[in-house]
Amino acid sequence: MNKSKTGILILLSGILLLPVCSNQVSADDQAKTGTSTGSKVELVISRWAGPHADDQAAVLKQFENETGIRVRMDAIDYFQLRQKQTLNLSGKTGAYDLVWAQEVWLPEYVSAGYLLPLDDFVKDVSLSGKDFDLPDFNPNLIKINTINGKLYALPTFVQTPLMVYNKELLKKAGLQPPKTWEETLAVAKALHDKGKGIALPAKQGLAAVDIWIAMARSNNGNYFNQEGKLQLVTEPNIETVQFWKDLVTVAMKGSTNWHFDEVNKALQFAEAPIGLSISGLCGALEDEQQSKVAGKLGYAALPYKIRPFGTLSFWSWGVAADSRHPKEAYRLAAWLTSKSIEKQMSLKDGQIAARQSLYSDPELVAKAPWLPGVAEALQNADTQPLHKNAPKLMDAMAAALSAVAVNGEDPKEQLEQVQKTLAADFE
Amino acid sequence: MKHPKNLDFKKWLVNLLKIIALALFLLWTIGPILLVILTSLKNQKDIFTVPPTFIFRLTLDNYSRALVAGDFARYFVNSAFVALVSSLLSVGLGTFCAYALVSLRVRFASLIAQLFLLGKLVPAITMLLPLFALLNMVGLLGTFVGPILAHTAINLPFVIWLIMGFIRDLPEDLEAAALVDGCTAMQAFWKIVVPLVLPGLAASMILSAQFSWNELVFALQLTNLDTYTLPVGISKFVGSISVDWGKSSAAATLTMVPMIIIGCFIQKYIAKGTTGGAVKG
Amino acid sequence: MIRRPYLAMFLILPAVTVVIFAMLIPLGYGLVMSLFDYKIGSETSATFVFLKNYVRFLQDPLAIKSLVITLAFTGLALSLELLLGVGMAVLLRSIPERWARILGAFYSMPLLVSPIIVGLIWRYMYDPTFGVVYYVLSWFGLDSVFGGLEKPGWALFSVAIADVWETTPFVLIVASAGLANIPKELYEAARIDGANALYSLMRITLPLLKKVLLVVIIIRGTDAFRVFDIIYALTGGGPGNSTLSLSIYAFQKGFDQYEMGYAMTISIMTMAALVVVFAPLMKKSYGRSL
Repeated sequence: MNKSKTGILILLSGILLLPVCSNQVSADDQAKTGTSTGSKVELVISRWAGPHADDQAAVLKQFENETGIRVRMDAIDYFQLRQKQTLNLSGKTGAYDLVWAQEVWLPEYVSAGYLLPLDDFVKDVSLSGKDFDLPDFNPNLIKINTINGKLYALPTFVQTPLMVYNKELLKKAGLQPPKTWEETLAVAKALHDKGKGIALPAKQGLAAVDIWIAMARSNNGNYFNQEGKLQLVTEPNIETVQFWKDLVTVAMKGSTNWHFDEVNKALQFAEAPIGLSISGLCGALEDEQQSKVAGKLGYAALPYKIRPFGTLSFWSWGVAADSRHPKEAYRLAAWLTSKSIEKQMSLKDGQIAARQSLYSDPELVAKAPWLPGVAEALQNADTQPLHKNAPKLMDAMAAALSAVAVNGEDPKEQLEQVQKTLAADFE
Repeated sequence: MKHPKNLDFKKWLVNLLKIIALALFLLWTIGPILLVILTSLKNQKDIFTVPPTFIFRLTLDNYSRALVAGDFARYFVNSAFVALVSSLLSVGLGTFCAYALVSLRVRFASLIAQLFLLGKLVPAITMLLPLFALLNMVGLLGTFVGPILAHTAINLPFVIWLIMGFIRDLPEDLEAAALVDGCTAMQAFWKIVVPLVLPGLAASMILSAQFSWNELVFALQLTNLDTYTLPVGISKFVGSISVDWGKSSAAATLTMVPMIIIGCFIQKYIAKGTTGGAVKG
Repeated sequence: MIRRPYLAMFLILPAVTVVIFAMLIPLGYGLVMSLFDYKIGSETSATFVFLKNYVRFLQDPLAIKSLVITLAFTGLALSLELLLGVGMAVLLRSIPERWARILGAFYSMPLLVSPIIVGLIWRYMYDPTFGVVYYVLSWFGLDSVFGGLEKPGWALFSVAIADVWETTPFVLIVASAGLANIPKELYEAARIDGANALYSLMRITLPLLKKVLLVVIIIRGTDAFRVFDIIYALTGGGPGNSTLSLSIYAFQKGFDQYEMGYAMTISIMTMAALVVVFAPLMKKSYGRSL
């Protein structure tokens, strides 16, 4: 009786120690890879999971063959990514060598000291490679990645919202692909009367805000005035919110809870004759394996008032400050963003790189029919604000746009509310 | 005078209603799950049809893609390990604790019990950051210690309160009788208390295990590539702007299967009867 | 009641240690950090603002709104779960054991599905264009009435239904275990004395289940109050912030908007609300025996 009691307790304590022992094993492994003398260098990169990650993982094998450096990709759920990166970078755990970060995260990362400046690495040809050609990168993006005069990340993977329309369905309804606000509203209304409408990502969230700001800027509106202070309650802005409100009334049923994903699905399965989707998803639309509408779609910039304007979002590779192999990590980043590798990825995945020479590459355009649409959208494009309080503004705008769409709130009032609440944050 | 025919009719009606209720609840319960399984067997093109189709070309493509691309074998082993250890710890430590708080005179028993409940109220984000920092300090980040510790801590309060409730329901005479017969406190625990609260133990075990099996945040943030679990694998198929419905449904179905098997097994213990007859009156 | 202080200590200590490390120290940390204004990762540059965050919470209309939403959600979800869970558990007891076991196994299946997938599948089901819910409702002509996840009041309701689907098995399993402890002889004696089913239910089953039910209410109630995953997956807090629960608001503030101090404050206030609502129940549950 006493024996069985002690027996169980010993078993329980044994179980408690097991994880610690397994840690020892992995710690030994880590110790081995920690030193780059003699034994193989191993890099860990942090990014989000998905088909793009899978394609990139396949491409990485070439890097290993060329350089002998092993790369492990830690691709996780997008919604947990920033949290995990932040926790590890701030805790200096050394878990990651390269991190894939969105442009809006960079100011935060840089000010917190998570990333290493890359200028010295860039100049080192042994790391960058002969064909690196820094000027070939989209200068706008390089500028955004240059903070306090230093370059902190190499841009790649560009995303922009697009207007996508089904040429067949529009023709059947006797409609022309719209360009301006008025045209879009008219087309959407005609379709709505027939039971469909325009597919919008009107769920309370950032998709709507990304689209809204592009349209506002196409109307010469914006968040801030010349001095950089928050100025939301302007005629152009109010008109844009009103337009959004009107557009939602002729949107497809369900749009008010749709994100880009659902809009894309609606297009993909020939439910939506027209919709506002995002460039990263266009690959699925043209994939005959998955899509009912491959080859039937047209792509253009978002509806505009005065001139086309796009919202830009892009991901970049940054070298973690606590990386044990910063030089090798940079080498990998330069390799991944080199012209040849970016072209490979674009051919495989349909991604849009930050390399200007690739925008007009005939091979790519043939493979990705949305590229001209993207080029049109990117003619005039800007990111969301990179101010440290910008996220608050984004969330507030998302709530305001949703309130207008779902509750029929007044555009001017909503903008005034956000202005009042947040003006102090942008002094 | 009761009319046998009326009584029979009433019985029949009640039985019919029972069957309808059970059937409806069954439909409600497994409906969505069937949807997941169906989706995992569909080709991409068939998944988003309007209206939803039930007749389509079957494919095992999603399963092979999920298994191959997804490092699934490793995730499975990791999940099994974490779930097993954390549920054993929760139920083991929790039952010991519950027994002590109820049957042994402890000075601050009520305070301690409420301490556990307070622990349960702590939201996940509050737990995550300090836990991360703590594990980082002692170099245990990326091991199984993180998720096991977190899962055990989250399950303990519930196990303790539940088992406490069960133990208190036992007639006091039982233990008194055992002690009179010369058992020590621990012997009374093993021979009398445990067998009698078996349904409670079984319920705690399965609930703790399934919580750990499906938990995502701690299992993702406190681990690394080598120690990821199945939910982490599933979450990989759910992208920021696009969800791979086929693969994620296949991954989810695969994840469900072991738990279903274990669940069936444990049901036996939950339904098992009890004190009947041990004590009269 | 046996007196064995050392044994008791030995038995209690491990559990207490785990909870102290994994939950109570973080709680203390959260309390302390809620007095600061800082961003995650930049703790060293935190500014001490004392109770300013708390004052801000009380004056923040969105915070109050999220409190109300959380209370509404908890009330709705909890009552439905209890009704269904206990009801079905009682029903299962009254049918032959073999069937009860099989059905019981099926009824506990929602618990086995990963919360990520639960979110996804319900989002899919609620979709007006592609989903099964609207499709079925259209057979009865109710599809234009149902607001699904689109309209403010309806959204919270729909999310609650999805949550009830996910959590009822928990109640069912615990209630079944509790029912298993009620000796069948009691029912037989009652039946011999001429009692009908309803009488047995009200006079025997429910009173004896009280303790178990109390634990379930406390556990599930506190869980529902802190709900996050299902809301995040289905609506993200919208539409029009109508499903913005306290935990979602805290997450937004802490991880989206870099205001970790305020996020901690929201978490502490959530706990305070929980204590206020559930403490009486907790006292009752513990005080019940001695």
